[in-house]
Amino acid sequence: MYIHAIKMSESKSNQSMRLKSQLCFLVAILVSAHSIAGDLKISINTQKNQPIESVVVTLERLGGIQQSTSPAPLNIEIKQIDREFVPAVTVIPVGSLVSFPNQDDILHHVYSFSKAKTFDLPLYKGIPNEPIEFDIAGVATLGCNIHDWMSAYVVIVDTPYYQKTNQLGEAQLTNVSAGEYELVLWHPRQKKSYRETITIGDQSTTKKIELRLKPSFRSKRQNSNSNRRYQ
Amino acid sequence: MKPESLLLITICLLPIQSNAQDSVISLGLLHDSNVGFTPNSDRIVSANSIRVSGEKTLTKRLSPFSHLSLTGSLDINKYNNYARDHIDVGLYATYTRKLGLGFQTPRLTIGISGESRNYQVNVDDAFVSSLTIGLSKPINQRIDLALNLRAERHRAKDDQITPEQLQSPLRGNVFDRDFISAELSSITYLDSNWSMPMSISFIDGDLVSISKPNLSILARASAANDYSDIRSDAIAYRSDGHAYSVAIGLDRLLTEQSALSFLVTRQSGKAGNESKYSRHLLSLEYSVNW
Repeated sequence: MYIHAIKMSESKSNQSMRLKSQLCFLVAILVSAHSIAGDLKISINTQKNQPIESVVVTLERLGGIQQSTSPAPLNIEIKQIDREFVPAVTVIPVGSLVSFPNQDDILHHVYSFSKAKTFDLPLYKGIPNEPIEFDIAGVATLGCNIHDWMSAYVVIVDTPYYQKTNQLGEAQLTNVSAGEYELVLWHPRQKKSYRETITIGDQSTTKKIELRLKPSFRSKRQNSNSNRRYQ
Repeated sequence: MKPESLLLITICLLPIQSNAQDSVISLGLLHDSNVGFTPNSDRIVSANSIRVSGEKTLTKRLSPFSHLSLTGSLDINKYNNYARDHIDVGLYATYTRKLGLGFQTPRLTIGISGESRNYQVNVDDAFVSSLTIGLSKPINQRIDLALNLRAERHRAKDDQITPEQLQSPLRGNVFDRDFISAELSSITYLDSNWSMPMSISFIDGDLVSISKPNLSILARASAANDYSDIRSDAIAYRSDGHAYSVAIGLDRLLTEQSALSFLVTRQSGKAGNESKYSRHLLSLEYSVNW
């Protein structure tokens, strides 16, 4: 009876050990799979091979798999300097806070009608009291109600893999978990939306992309001379 | 307000520092194919002129959607022909209200102006006042549209006319004239540097012509019953009439603070006595703002 009890106990102990080792194996596989990560180097040019600055590059996970980590919200500034927004394009994770310091010695009136964020900051100088929270993914187009040529774009993303191209038209996404993604490019003047499925492995992936842009029409300028005195 | 007061206010405004890019200096060349605005059947005299202008604008914001601006201007015009040299000193006050938030929101403007025009031959010196009501709206990123209705009154400086020069019972001075105009204008932005202004306008009121006297002109002037010898070789007369004006141009932004503008204007009209008038103006202007 006692011996039988001991055998039963040993059997349960063995099962438990086996289960533990199986679990450890599974975790090891998951951990090793998770640790497989690669980089994406991207270079974006016009048809005339001119680098395009401020293209927002994002990777969105495919196959119904959740992003491995949520992007941490940021606190950033979009300034108004010499009657322009600086920077003109900003990419931030969902939930980030943005303040709009006016560094000019004139008043600005910042607004957005976009679905991603609707707000307005009536005439102010200096730093507005409260930053604006961008809590929905999308693109918010900003303007100044006083200076019509002023415009800026805030791209709100819910992926940890995002970047903006530099002056050389280059961006690098590092430590991207291996898997299948949709590569999305966004620029305020792009002619067509750009989406492409790519696979990230454990090595560095390099891509060169040509993007077609629309011309820009408005710039900081005086009104036409014929009407200037009546405007 | 007397012209001297206008000049004083303008000179006072010029050195005042305010918002950036509200001071402008420009240099312009103009060709006028019918400087006296005489009927097509009469001798038409063309002239070229050079113009140097300066202006300064002060802006007071009244609310997030409205502001008041005051512009002082000084224009010096030098003609190669017809003794039309003149110096203009003006003040322009404009109230602008944006009818909501956003780039494409219409805006309403109401402007009044006073301008003193001082000619080389000073019988046609005048004080010009105007009231303008306008509505403008950017249609999209490329096109702005505007409609302006304007009433303008020219009043000659009466003390310049001697009794000997009066040839008939004038309605005041022959250079006194009132007219109203409606102008539809647009600016098309071709890219961030080039833009194309266009306008079409209708003018109704008094037309004043200046011409060398000949039999036809004297007959016309007598019929108009509003004429004056303004100097030994020229006669001015006034008729009721209307005119159409069409203009198209091209603006090139050279830097953030300078621009080159070319404008062609075609004006044609008809006076009450069925005389037809026409003129075209070509202007090229370089402007710097800061």
